[in-house]
Amino acid sequence: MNLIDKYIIEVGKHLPRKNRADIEAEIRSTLEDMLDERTQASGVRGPADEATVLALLKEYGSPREVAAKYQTHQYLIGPRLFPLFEMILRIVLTVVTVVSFIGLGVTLAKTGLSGTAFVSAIKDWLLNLVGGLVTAFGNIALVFAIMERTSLGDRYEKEFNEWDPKDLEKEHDPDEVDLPDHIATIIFTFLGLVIVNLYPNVLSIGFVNNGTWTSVPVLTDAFFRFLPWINIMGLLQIVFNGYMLSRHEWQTPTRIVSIVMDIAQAFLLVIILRTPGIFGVTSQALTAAGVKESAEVLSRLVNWIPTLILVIVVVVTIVKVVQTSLRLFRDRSKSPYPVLNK
Amino acid sequence: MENDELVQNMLLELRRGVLSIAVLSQLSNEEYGYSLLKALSDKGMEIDQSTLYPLLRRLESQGLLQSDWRIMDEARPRRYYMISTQGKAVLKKLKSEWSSMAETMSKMLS
Repeated sequence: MNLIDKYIIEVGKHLPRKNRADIEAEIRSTLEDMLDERTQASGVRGPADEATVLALLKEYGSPREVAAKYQTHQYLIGPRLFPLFEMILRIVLTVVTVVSFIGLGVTLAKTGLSGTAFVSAIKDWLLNLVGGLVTAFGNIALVFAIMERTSLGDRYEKEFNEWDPKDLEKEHDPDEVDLPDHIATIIFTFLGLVIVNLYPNVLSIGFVNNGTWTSVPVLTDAFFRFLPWINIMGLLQIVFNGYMLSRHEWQTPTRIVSIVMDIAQAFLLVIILRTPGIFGVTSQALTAAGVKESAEVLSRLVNWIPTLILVIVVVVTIVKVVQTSLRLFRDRSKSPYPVLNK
Repeated sequence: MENDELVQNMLLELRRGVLSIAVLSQLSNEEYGYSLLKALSDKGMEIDQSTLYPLLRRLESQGLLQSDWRIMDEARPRRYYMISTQGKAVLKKLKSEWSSMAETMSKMLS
């Protein structure tokens, strides 16, 4: 086997199987033409010497480089799908990280912040986080690589190309105040304050026991000790949302206030929910009220409520604070040509 | 040095668009790859063989060229390329566009 044969085999290793034989034959034909020309030009008769062949192959290029020029897809995810890939990757990796941090919080609440259990929890969390991020990245890349090579990518490109500027009219202005959202927040906060201040008995689990209506309060005095703080937060919420209704537009100071209030509310809720004995639905209270069989199950169910609410509140607050912060950093200038203000 | 690299990259982009027209224009009679390479070179259009062959394949897959393997005067089999009917129609449009573009550019650069 001569050098040209070996070279062609090397190129062939990097070529698509479908056209390999054809491309190999064409490269061979070209190399032989080039070699003939060089030997004739040098006046040598017979086969070309090794130095001439080596110089020719060196000039033709490395097998990998030559083969790469014949490849249609030289990238895993092409430019048409890359922006969508990047956006989905960011969202998914953020969610994986947030969920992982929540998981860490729940684990640390059980293990405490010292000792071998703490170290082991941190180690496991790190391994799971890295594993989760890599897996998420791999799966998304795989889906997009498939899209790139199938009609799904073409369909996306078609939809992308069929974009109509009139669609912009349907786009929501991120700076615009969402009136129904603020009105609903005011109404529900007001109702919540009325209930916890004036009608706390409404917050109870009621059932009929031996023909008699019995109820067990959901919240205890331990919870109502936080009432002044709850009232302050609630009133601030109502005042702020009322102010936003009059403003019609989000601005940097109002976004900062919104972030501070979201964090303060989440902080208060975490403190309340981490306080022992805030829920009155215990197995003892239920047994005393006449519920015997299901007392244990019911009380266990109720004990899960703080953790569940805690997780929901933390997730919702993180999402809301991140969204508001992003809008804060992308806050648009009032001028349509902000570059001129520099 | 930085400018040289910039100019090289821009020339590369400039040539990339022109090469398809150049290749199509030289295939009214059938040519095999290496003879086409020489024909282009003789007319001042230097092109690397590792660029020409993939380009020929791309143009063929677009239906602008047709090719077949043949053994002509020598014993070596070669793949001969020729412009297709669709290729001729496309080349006609490209030629007209090129003339107009060249005229515009001449005015702008004079």
